[in-house]
Amino acid sequence: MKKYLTYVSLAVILVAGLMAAARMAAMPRTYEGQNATVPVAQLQQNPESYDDSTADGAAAVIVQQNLAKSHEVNDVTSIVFDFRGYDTMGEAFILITAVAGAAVILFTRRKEGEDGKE
Amino acid sequence: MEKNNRQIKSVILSSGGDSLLPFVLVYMSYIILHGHLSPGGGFQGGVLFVAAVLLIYFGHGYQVATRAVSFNLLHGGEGAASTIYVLLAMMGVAVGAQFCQNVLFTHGAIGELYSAGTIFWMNVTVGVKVLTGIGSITLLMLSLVADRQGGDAK
Repeated sequence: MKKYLTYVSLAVILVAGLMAAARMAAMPRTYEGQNATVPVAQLQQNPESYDDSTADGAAAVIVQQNLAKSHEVNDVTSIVFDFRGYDTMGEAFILITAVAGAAVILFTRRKEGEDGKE
Repeated sequence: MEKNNRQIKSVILSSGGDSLLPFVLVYMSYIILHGHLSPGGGFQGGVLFVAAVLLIYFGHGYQVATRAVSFNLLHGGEGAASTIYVLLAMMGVAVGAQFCQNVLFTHGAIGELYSAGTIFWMNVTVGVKVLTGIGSITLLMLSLVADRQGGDAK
């Protein structure tokens, strides 16, 4: 009974994940740099064409587009938690693994030490 | 053994640590909460919690540190925070956008403390997660040190 419940829930999760993946693949990309007011990709290939009359040229482009997309003042946090939020999730799970590893090693050593005393 | 106890429980260390502790905690919460407005963020602010645990340990010893900061609470908080992070990331899928997409970003004014939608909440959850994870690692290491020194741990 419990086994079948597990199979059913795993199948539901798999189907939901596949549906979400199919829907997400059909959607437009979050950011591709094409609809921007300043074409960054062309600018990178031909830097002479850029209007550098304002002081912070490329930085101003990045800040303006980021403000329009996420209403966020700090660009680094916006990249870490929004555009690359998946990456941050992986980092957070690495931390869980590190804590589990440290707990296993240290608890085992503590137990060994107690046994040695007795 | 007596020498160790005297070193750990000196009056200067305990009073100095006690007076520094609230400032460390306020600074930690400031860095976590303002991660989307200033340099810093969840990871950097959460690591500061180690300073708080170490201040309690240096001032009052291992037993008081474990009483002040519960190991089981830290473990539970870490799991809960990572679950909330994944749920926040799934919110985009539920609304009909990409995974991890910022769907609340119009809430709040630009530059205010509560702005930028899910970035703020993800920042806070990652801060809690790093705080609890690093804190539990530190408590584990301190338990080993206290066992080696003897007496103080029991």
